[in-house]
Amino acid sequence: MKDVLSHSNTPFALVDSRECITGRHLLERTLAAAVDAIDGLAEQGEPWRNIRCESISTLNVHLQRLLGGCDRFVMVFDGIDKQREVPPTLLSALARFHETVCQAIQTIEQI
Amino acid sequence: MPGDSNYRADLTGSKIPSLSIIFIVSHPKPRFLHTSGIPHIFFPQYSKDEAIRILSQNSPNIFRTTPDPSLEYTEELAAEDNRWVWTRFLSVVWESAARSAARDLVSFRAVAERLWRPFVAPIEEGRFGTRDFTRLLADRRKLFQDESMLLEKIVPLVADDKPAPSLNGETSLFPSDFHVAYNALVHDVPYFSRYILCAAYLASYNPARQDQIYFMKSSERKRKKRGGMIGSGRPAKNRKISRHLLSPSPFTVDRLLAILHAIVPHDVPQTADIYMQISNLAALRLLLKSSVIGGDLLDPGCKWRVNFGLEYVSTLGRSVGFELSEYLAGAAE
Repeated sequence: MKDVLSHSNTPFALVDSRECITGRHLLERTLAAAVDAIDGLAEQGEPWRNIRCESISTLNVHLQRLLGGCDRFVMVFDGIDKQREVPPTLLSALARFHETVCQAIQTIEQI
Repeated sequence: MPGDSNYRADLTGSKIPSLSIIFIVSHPKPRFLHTSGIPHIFFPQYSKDEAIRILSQNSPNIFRTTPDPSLEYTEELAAEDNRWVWTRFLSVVWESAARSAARDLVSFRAVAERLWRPFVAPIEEGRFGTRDFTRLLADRRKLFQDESMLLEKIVPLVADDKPAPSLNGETSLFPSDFHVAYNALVHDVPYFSRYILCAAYLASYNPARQDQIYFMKSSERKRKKRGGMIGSGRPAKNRKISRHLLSPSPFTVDRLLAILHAIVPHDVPQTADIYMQISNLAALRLLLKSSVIGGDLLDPGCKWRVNFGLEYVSTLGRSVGFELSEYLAGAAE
């Protein structure tokens, strides 16, 4: 999986659910992985290092701000059906992320 | 790539393709994402040939230290031999364990690596050549019958004080930390199944013409003279090879039942479902069919034979109080 994505020149973040103990741990790791991926491309600065991510909505907002300048980004959740202590709606919410993130970018562009 | 996972890509279509989310999932529930029409890719499990071809890309070495260069055993020859033996070894491991118990690539590789070192130890010692695969397999087949290879343990199993007894008097094949307690060799089969197994062993290893001597109540006195006069009073011919070393001979189910009724010290009750227990033992592969006529398991013409050795069945017999050696033809060593 990693090889395919690295060959396709798209920035990506891979999160392994086996290593994430709770749902919140998963979200924090997702944000950290996204920050690491974006950092590889451009200088982002210190504020992103100390960000907290308590819930899906905060993750949503952070991702909107983080991915504002990006054209494409891929997030991979490995083994998400085996994630422990997950709120039951997590998966559907994650699946619909792209709608909200994209809309925010559209509003920014309009401005 | 994981062998059995669904890969779901939730790609954006008409909106700006900024964020794509991919889920790698092993067992998705029916209404997983509460949406419909999710693009996905399904990865089926590897077949035997594919798994073996993947794993034979890197073969481990047979010899841990490079042998003497004066033997003209170059690196290319060594690599060639490694690959040759490793590929055949993988297919044996697949047939014995991995097909049922270690199906995915990671555990298949783990089992193969765990068994490799004990398997090629005779080649390293010099007892077999590198291309002598069939004889090596016959020598090491006990490796594949033991199920402890499937367990992964950090703490070694406790070794008994006495060494593990084995069928041919050899020392245990595994180092002491793989030693399984000897009692584990006897499976937990029910009471009548143990008698069925003893009767099956006797049916396989006693010649049919001596059945009358051993199993009829009226001839109990004759049984005491093992190897004595048979029939018209000729002394018994000495067999050149002890019968236990030969492969078991086939027997029919009714002969098995007759012997069973003879050796069980009390009456076999009607409620003991003998046929069901026989078919369970066949499913456990303790009894094997020699010939199939019409495909019916309990057909009277169908012949069976046993799939275990003397040690196993004498332990089994002793556990129900049945002394096997009294009934065995020929000297039981």
